[in-house]
Amino acid sequence: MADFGRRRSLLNTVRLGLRLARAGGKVRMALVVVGAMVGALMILIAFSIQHVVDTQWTGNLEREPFHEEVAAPEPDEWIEHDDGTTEVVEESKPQPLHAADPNSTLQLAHGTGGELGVTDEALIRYVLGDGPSPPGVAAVPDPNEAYLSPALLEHVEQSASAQEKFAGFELHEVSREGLGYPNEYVAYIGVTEAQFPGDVDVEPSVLSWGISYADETMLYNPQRGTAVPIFAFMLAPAILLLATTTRLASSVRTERMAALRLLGINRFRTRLIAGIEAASLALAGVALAVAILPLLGWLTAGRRLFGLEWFAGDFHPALPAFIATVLFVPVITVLTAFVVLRKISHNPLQVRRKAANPAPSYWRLIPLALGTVALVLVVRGDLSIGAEFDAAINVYTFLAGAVLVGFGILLAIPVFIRRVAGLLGKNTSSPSVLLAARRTQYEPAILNRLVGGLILVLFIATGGQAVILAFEKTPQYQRAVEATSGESTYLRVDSNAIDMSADPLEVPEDPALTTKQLEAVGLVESVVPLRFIRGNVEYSDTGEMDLEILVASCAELARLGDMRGECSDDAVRTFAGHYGDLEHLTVFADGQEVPIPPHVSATDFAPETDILYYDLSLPPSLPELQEVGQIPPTNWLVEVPANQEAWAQVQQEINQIAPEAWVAEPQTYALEEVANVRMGIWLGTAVAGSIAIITLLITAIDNGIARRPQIAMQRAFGVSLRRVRRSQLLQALLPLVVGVPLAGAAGILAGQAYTALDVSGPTNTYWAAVAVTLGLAVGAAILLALATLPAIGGKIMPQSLRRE
Amino acid sequence: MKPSTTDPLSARSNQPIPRITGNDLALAFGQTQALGGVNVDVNPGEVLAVMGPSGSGKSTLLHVLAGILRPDAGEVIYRGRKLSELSARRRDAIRLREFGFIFQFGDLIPELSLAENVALPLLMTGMRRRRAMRRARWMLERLEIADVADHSAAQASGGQVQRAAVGRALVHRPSVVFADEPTGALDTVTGELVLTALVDLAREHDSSVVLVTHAVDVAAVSDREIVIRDGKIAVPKQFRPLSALEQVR
Repeated sequence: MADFGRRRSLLNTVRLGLRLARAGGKVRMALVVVGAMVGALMILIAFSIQHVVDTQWTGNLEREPFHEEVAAPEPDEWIEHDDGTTEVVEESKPQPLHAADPNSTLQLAHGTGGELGVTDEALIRYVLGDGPSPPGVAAVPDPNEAYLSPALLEHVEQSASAQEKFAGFELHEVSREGLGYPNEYVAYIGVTEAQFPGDVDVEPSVLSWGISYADETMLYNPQRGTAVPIFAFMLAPAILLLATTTRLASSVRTERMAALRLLGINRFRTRLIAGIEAASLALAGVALAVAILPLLGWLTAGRRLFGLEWFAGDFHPALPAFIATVLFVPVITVLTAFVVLRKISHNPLQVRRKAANPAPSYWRLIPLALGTVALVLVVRGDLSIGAEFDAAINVYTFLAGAVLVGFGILLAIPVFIRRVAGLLGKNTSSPSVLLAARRTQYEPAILNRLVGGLILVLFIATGGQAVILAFEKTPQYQRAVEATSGESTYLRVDSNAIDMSADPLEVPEDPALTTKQLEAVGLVESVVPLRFIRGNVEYSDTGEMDLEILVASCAELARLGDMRGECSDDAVRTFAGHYGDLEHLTVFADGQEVPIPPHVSATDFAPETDILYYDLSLPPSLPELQEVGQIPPTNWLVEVPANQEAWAQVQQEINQIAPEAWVAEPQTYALEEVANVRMGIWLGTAVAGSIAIITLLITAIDNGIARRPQIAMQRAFGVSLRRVRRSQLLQALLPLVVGVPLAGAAGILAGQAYTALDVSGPTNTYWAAVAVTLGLAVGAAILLALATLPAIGGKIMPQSLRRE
Repeated sequence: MKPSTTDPLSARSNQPIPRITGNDLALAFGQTQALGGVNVDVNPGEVLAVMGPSGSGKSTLLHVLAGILRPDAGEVIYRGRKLSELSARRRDAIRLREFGFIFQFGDLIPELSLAENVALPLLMTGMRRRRAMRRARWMLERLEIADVADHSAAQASGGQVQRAAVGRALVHRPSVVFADEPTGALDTVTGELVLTALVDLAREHDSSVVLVTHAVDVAAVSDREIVIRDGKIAVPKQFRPLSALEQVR
């Protein structure tokens, strides 16, 4: 009987929990559900990306050829121990995933995307003979037959050079099974023995497709690491979001639970009620997230995100990860609810009386102060403990400073906000400002921590912007921009006339190209001939070496780029300190060996193109060179329009004239590097900023809801809606007004410190970063301000006093 | 002796120009008839007690007279102006500048100090901070809570909060103070202190007070009282001497 009573009592407790979940108010319930949904969705997205990476890795193993020869013993790995002994470690050999075909005559050779005019990563395979079909391919293609992925087929339709490559080919499509991702470039091209790029006599037969290893370490996916930061990056904000929304729900719950505790309901029961209430809302959020995920997969399929592309069907978490998420979100929600309940256990009466929030301690400013000092030291370059340690000490000081400032902002923001709001409240005559300031001053710590989160994001964005701007000032970036978007740029054409492996006294063949031929190439605007001769040098540090030496006058060099330092037409020019002192120099030209006195006039020559490089240059007016007669140009700088299509066209035409000629394009890696940094910073800012904003919005809305009775009372007193709104807006803006200058200043300092680590010195181009920060802050402020309005909206009329 | 009313079915006073007049006020919330044809006058400087059991319509009448609720029928005339004919903005302005309000739990803004809460109506009407705060502190001195002027509402006791609410209601010298169960949450002694302060200050400022209560002792300080039952005025009581208040003093 007693048991029955206890069970029924427990059941009633559960019912009460469910009832209270519904009683929290529609808006609050919706906020918690949305918070749980966004949090769960982010975790599911992170797991889905992980799954995509894993699936594509598995898919790649499925497309790996298995041939008998590979399975044959290979040189084993030797490990040398400290005591001088060695140990043979037998390497794990690939195993076929499917039954091998012993009669297979299929041979495979790899090509590159460049052969088809594709610059992205591509899987190009030439096949010869017959055997098992690769995944996604109906039958091994015969000569003049090819299977191409849909993306490559589309490329062929659009590219004249690719069409030329496949002229007379029967083209088929590689099906989904043969693709890692939707826009992957894959080709299986059937060729004749004569066309086969590999060595037919040596290349082993493919017995089956798909490999595995007995040793699981061999199956390690090197790309797996790319998903980890994304995962961590999304998991942390997701947990923050979940915890915040749960705490919000708890703010209502806390009072109710305190009342229940005062009534004598024990700690277990109050926890049970709170847990059921929190978990039921969290589960609703998770259910929504699970429903939305496939839609997200469908929307993102075929788009390049996080450096990946995926099929909609692959974008889902693995089952264990899915189960873990579905359990994790309610569990963390319930745990957070329990943490909040601690206060009730200690002193329920105090909770009921709504004791004032204590002022944050000034000790919280210490990390920010220490971090700032560290960054200032890096910027000023004052840190030195010995030349060999300087770089390391600066890097570690920067890292420590940046981390301290980051954490310091989170800790210090509540102090600053409270202090500024206190001063404002003490001195203002405006009732709106007074209300906003005082409310801000006594805001719960959690809200100010969230504002701190947003300020932290702004700090990262500002610092990142300063770094990007510094990168954009580098000569290599400027040159890359000029090369791709200026009026014209230079390609370097090398006729490969100097064969460094040949006898130096052998008279070289005439160059395969002439200046006139190059001038006649379409799109070429001008041609600068360069003369190189073969030389043998001996430096004090590096010893003897053969190299190509540029023969050009100072006037010619000046045409090619900025000249710094002295340039002399009377002596050898080399770069000071590169290899030590030049001790001996001989040049070979026209079958002669001509010693040149190693009198060096060191210059610093910075060519404005990245494609012209040499270690040594000689003035053509040197008396010793007069003996060798006219040196024909073997290299040229060809001026072409500054776009990559033009470069490809020029390159194609030059190769038609001289197939062995080598054309070097301007280096544009700096563009990609900066784009990657920018992408990383923006992505980080976007994800962290979105979460901070969502969390703040949820909190602001909740805050507004909590203030409704107070606002209704003010409205009854005759306070206009405009004044009420103004006060709410000011309250939303005040923390940002305090935090944004801090974020801007700290971000610029961090950006300066980061760039100070580089030889280029600290950046001073940060005004654009400030503009970006202010832009983001204004955006955040507008969102926040708008978020406060629905809660208090126009619906709160004086008569609302009765309802509220 | 207080003057008696002439019409036993209305709360009309015999004074010539009432400050607020409610004519045939009727208001229903769904099926519930909160007010069913109430006539009432509030005269200058008088303390009108509105009594009745819970749910009888006392607070509704207070809210209608203050222009917070709009009656379904009838009209409220304040200083010769029909409130229903005024724009919402104008009604807001009247409540802000000419009325004062006290509620059962004080309902101060918890983040503001008691002095700032009291100064709020003055600041709302454009007074400079220094002057507003000086007047608020003076008011708190009158209410004998100057020592906690800088405490927040959360730090003050219920009686202190309620006295500060009285100060807030009267600091801008309103024409009418609407007090809805101002002592309902207080013990007898503190309640009497609050009531004394309210009545004294109101008389000093020549403010009328509409005092909603169901406590007979509280009503005893009034000049006149009416009893509401089921949304209608029950037979109004005669004016009585301020016996209870005098006893407190």
